[in-house]
Amino acid sequence: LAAILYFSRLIFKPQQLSNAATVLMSIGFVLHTCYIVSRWYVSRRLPIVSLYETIVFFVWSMVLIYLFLEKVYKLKYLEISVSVLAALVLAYTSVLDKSIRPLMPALKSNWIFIHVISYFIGYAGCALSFILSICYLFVRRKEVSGGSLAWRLDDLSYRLIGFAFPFLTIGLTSGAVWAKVAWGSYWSWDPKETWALITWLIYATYLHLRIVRKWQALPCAYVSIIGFLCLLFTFLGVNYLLKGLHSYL
Amino acid sequence: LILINEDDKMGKITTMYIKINKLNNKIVNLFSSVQLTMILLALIIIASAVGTFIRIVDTYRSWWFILLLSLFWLNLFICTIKRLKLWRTKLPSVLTHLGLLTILAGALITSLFGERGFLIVYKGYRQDTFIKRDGTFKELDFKLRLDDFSIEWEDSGAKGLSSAAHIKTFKSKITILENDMPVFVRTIEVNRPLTYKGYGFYQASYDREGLRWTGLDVVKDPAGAPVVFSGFIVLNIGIILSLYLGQKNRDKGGNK
Repeated sequence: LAAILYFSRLIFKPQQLSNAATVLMSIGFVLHTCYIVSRWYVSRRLPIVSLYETIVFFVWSMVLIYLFLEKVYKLKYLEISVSVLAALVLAYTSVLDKSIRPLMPALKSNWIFIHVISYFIGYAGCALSFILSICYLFVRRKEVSGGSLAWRLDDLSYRLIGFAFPFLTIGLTSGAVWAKVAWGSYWSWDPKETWALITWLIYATYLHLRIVRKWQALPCAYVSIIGFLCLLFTFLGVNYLLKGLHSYL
Repeated sequence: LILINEDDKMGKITTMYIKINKLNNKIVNLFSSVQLTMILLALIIIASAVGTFIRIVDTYRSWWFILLLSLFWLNLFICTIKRLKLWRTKLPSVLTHLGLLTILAGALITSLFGERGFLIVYKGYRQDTFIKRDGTFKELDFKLRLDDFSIEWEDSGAKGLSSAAHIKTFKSKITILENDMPVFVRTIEVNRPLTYKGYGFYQASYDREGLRWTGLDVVKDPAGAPVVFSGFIVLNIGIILSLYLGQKNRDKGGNK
């Protein structure tokens, strides 16, 4: 089933016609949704637990938000980068352990849903903002300053962070409440916690630079990129490089 | 401000007063500046990042890290106080920052008045002493008795599960004793702690060889955690209001 999904994603990689690409992407999204729902049915729990499942869910939310953006903001030029990224990330998940396992005791809690779901919606928003910021850097070079495309990319990137930040906050705070229930203390400076806090602080700084200091596009694009790199490190790097309480992911 | 004073002494006092006032203003201005916030935030970010790699030194309990956090708190406090007057127009922002201040204040309460430790109790035996983080022992005025410790396994034949054996849960059946008289029986599991007289007991480890004992984390933090959690609620409300309402306002502005 996952294989069909990858195919449907890879088909629209070379697509240049935007309408056809949108249709294919929507089909891919529907298949993706079916896949998640079937996994949900088989495992009898929300499939957001293992590394594989969280990445699949992350790509799903990213495509969902992207399709929404496309509809609302008539954003056409990002299809290729978003679908290539989605296809690449899903291709990466094919090397991960896909087996459905029961939850380990520490994860058996209702907090897992709010914690993981809000985090991955937040991550998806940040990832899109990251793509937009990188596009912005490329477009900026070609366009004369004040070009409308660059301006729109920058504006959307900001809106996406504004959308994602509350989710990151809910994820961080619900994680702390859960930690109190499971381990007895709401904060223990575990590497994962610390890096999640660092990511949160960087995005908070981004918003302050935008709102209070009225910084403009270029430096903000860099902050958005740094923020997403920290986010990636929190999600993946910490697991490989540092030992901590979050070792099950 | 022009002051004409016939009395020389009075004049001196007045200038001194103005000087102190100026110094006071300078300090207030320094602590309410966004530049200071940015510098402090950058330092906190760098320090905590380095702290995750260098685990020999306990960065997060060192005096300079706590100093950084305190300065950050003061900076945030003065900025928020200055904005309190504008709460009608800036309510979301004020809420967000009040939430953060509350969280940090709660963390201080936890670190000052909270207790944390660990105890081991053998099956059939009683325990009333736990070892604290600093290595000292503390005696409770009640006793815990471990009636039973068991591991429950996941049903390996269940639909869709891989065949390897998986632990479902650890169970420590504990009786609380006051003056050696049983008060109540409760089973502790991961994510299901037991709380008695302000002490929380959390399933932490067990005897891997014969299931003869269970290890429990002991935590007492009656004031800090509730303060922190109420801060979380205020922070989340503030952020949701400021980002989603702010977005709407901006859209309206853009349309005009």
